[in-house]
Amino acid sequence: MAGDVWVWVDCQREEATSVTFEMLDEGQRIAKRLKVRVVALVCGHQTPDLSATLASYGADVVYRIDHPLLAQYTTAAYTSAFATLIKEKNPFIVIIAATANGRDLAPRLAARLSVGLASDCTMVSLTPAGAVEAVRSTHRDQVYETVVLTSSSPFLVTIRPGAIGVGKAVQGRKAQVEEVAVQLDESVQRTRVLKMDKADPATLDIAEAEIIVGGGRGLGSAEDWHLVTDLADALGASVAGTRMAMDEGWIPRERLIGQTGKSVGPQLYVALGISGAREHVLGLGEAKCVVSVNTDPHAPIGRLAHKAVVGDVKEVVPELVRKLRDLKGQASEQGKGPQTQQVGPR
Amino acid sequence: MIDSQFTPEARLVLALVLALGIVFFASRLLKIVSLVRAGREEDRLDQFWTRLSGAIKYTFGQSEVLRSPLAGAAHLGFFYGFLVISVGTLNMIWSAFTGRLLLPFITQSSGFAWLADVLAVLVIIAVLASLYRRYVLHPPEVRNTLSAALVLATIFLLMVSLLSMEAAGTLLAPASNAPPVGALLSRAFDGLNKEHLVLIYTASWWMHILLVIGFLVYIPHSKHMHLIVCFFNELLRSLRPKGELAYANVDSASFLGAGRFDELRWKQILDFFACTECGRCRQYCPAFMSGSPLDPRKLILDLKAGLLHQKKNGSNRSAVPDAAGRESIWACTTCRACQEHCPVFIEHIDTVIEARRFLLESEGASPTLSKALESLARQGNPMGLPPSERSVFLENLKVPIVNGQAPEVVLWLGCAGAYTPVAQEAITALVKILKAAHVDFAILGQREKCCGDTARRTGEEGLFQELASYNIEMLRRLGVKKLLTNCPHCHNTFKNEYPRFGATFSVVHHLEFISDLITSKRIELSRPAEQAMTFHDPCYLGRYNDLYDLPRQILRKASTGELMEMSCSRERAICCGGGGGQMYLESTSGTRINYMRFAQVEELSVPMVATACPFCKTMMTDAAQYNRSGPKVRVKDVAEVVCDSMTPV
Amino acid sequence: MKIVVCVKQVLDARLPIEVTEAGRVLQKDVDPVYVLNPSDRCALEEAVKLRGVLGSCQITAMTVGPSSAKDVLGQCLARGVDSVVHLLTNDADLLDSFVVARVLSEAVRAQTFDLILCGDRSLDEGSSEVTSVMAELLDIPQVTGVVKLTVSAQNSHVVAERKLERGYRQIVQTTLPALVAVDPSICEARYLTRRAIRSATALLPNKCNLVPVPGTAGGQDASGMRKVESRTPPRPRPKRTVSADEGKSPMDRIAMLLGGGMMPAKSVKHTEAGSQGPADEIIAFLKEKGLLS
Repeated sequence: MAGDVWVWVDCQREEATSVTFEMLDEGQRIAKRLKVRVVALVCGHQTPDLSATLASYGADVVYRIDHPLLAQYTTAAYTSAFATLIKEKNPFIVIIAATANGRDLAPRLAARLSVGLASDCTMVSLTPAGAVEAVRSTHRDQVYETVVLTSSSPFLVTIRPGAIGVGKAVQGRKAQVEEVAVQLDESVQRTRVLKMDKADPATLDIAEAEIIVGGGRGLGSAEDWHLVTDLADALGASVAGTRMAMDEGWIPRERLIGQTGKSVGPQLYVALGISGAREHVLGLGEAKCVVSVNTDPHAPIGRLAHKAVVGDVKEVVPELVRKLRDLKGQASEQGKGPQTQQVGPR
Repeated sequence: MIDSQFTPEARLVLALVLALGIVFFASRLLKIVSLVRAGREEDRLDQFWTRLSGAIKYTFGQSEVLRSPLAGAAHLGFFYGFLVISVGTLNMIWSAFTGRLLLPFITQSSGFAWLADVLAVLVIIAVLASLYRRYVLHPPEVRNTLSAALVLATIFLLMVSLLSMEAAGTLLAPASNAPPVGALLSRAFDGLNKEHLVLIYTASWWMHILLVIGFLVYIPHSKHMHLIVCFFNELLRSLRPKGELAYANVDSASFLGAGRFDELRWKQILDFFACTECGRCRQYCPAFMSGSPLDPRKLILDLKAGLLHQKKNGSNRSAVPDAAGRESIWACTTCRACQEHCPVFIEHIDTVIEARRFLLESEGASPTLSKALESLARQGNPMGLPPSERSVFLENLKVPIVNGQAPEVVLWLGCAGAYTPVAQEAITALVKILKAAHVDFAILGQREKCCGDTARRTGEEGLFQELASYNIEMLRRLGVKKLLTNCPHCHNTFKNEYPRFGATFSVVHHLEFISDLITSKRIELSRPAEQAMTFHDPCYLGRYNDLYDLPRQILRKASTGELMEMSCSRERAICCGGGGGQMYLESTSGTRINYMRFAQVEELSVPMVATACPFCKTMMTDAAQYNRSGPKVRVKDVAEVVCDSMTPV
Repeated sequence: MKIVVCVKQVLDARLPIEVTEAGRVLQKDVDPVYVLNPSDRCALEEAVKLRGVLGSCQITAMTVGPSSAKDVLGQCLARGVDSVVHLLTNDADLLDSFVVARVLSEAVRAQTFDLILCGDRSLDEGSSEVTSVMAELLDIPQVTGVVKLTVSAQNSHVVAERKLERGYRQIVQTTLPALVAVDPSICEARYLTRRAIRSATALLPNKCNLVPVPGTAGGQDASGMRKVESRTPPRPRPKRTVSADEGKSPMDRIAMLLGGGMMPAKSVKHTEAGSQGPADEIIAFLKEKGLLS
């Protein structure tokens, strides 16, 4: 009788991120095949109740593992906790997202337990014979490596964020919540978290930003640059621009996107007054969603944008900013939570 | 000249003053000589007769100085005036001690007296012209220092004292055939008695001698050191091809480049003392004109100051770049305008490159330059693009790739030509021309690696030599005899730099090739363009390899429209700003060089500017696109203009 | 302070890579080009920087690999390490990370050390496994994804800034000895001239400690826990998307599936200003994509 499929929910920022939903999605596929349950592991200290969300994305059971030493991610505490739990409950497979923490944890855990691990996978499945088979993308995504884990369960896999994509949530599903206790020894802690710094879009490196507003030639003058910063403010975005913007002095070199500047991969890129010259577009290869506002209907950016609006930024942007601020106002009125407009996948 | 009665006391004073003067002069001179000798070895005495004849021509013909008419004319006066009058001065001293004339067959002749006389007046006119130029016209490159003012004053007084001596002398010892000016001036002394005349004569004599001795002492402390150094700088000038940078033995050296002053080659140190502060280098420097801190004259003078002021045991490892300024060192485009216009053969570029070699070793490169050099080492091109894509853009033109033995002509694409769209257009046009003329040619495909120009000019000598070795061996194995290229940088490197590393193939620039095709009627330009245009001279084609007329001849055949000249063209052409590694170096100051040059194109109100270099085309296209408000100006390679005007095949 | 830097020679995956029929991974159309793993280069540079700050440091570089790996050791010397150790294997093929980690930790255990520095991720396999496994085998604390590192005055502990997603930073303090895996953004690796690299490489025979590693034949299977079945060119998998695909034609849906998620916009909607109001259009679009809650 195979063990359950476990998925680690990294909820450092008190919310389940889209990465977890991807892991649950993949976990569900495997669990269905083995006819076992999908267990979501929520580790931390005094974590909120995420069971409804987790259930809607595929969790059957939620283990809440609460311990003061797990309040912040540290390798030692988390490795200990997981190792203990895995030995105790003997799951079939543990799926961890290949985030910074996931990549830190999984190999150590695999070495601690001497179990098979497949890292940074784009797909995990079972062979007809029931073995765990994973596909890894290596050599900068130019080679696909198929790995089969030859040890016996439990198996460990880490899956690359974005490899699976987030499916639709199924409303009304319920998950059973279990409080699981774990013993952790303070003395094993040689690492202490001093603090966690949140990103400030104003100072964040644009290569890491999730939302970016870029300005180009269409802005016309320094006086109109505020359109870019206003929109960035309303969206909680970082500011960037094209070569033209840098030459004019509207942005420093660190905010240049392009062949001679940075490559960015935000969830959302709003291009204001940008024609889409090759030099700039070469830096946008990884952007997930591109929205463009430009007076020229034939601007090359149109080929790249998912939404291209033909219009004057001087007219469109102030209106857009106003509406976004209205939405934000409505949201905070209805007590939906954080004051800033929540943009970006949750 | 009348023999003054010299008392023994007077002679003693003279001897003392002279001795002091000579001692001060010599000690300073020796210090300078020792600083120069401390530099690294270099053979500058090869081809001695060529050197000597050149030195004589430049010194006595003053050809380089005369390129600036007003200054040159004045200087001609100073030069010959000094030469002749100095003989007279030596005679004065000699006769003061010995009572006899020095070289009497010269000094006694009335011809000599007349010559000195006239020249003294000419020198005074030269002084006045110089003062006018300096203080009234005030051209920007002239430095109005106290030193310059004092020296002009000194020269003036030297001539006045001379003429005053003559005037008094004419009256004291009248002779037939007295020099005219002296005679004229002597009228001013009419009526003075003999004692007064003697007083005037003696006073003038001493003023003259003291000023001469003072000037002698001052020479090695000022720009007038050039009086001594110039001839030697011309004698020891570089006879290497203009486009060849100095070789460095990469394997035996424990470091490259010059950090301390004694790591410069001795000739580079000598250069500092040849500088006349004329400012012509600065006048045409594109970096300086665009507002960057690089000023070629200041570079040389700062290095001189740094050298002279370094402490005895000072082991400042980076004294050279500290003195010159790192921003200045990296701002140079190696366009050669400075050296082209320097009248005393200072070699600014080699010094900049030595500093770059050192900085690259000790301080590393800026991020974009690092990236470019690393891509160059790994992939054979500075753009970081795959070698396998080098000739992909020519696929549908079905250009053959060399297989086995090479045909007579091998077309070299160059990195810009292979990977940059604007340069690819030029290559495509060239290929079409070659096909229309049924030329048997092929390309090298991905075997081609960068010629190494960028590496060498940014100080990465090791990488340059590796690329050179690779390319030379690759071409040798394929039996390549002749390379055709459209890039003046590649052309220059192959023609002028590769031979030292064993290359035996010849290289021809596409302008030369196209010109031949036109004159031998292998292609016909039956549909010439009708628009007016101008030509932008690429530095590496023009100043470096003296190809100014050919592109113009071709363009006149390819278009019936007027071929206009920009205000600065040919030897005075302003660089596009792309050379010397500038494509990969961030210039942080000033308006960009290419925008500045493009503004000169716009002054002519022509619809097109033609050029013959992929770097120039890239920079000019960039500038053309930046200008949104003006009328559209097309930028095209000469090959494209020719291709468009060809009879369709 | 003794620092050990672990480096790896990798196939340069920044050039186009192809996979042969037999499953060999090579660069397309050129002879194989190997480089020092970029993040390892940053780890080396960071070690040299630490030496500059702390005064005296013994820095040793180590690598596991076949004889060609000595090229990277030459670069390590050029960058300023004091000594290099080459753990020589027979295989030219990719070794299993767990095996590499075991070999490295045994070699390191034989020396005293205060800090192990490595790159976070290799250009070829990119699994980030060696670092964590090494730390576990040596039973020392690990900090990965480090973008800033400071060593305390008495060399007793380090403070490291870890790079998390979305610009978050976790700042941790850990006791020494420890293993720190650096993210390439920790520092700019200085440019080394070819001359410097060549002259350092020439010194290798005297400065390199060559240690043959026994029994690494069949490297890929050596861990006993996993096996690489095959290597192929990439085959994108169909991805889930969150956008409402109701109302899309079957052709569009298939295109979406085959394209793998977010479809590059062939279906661009140009809007003339004034139909729905462009601002409203944009907001509606963002809501549809789930980018606006």
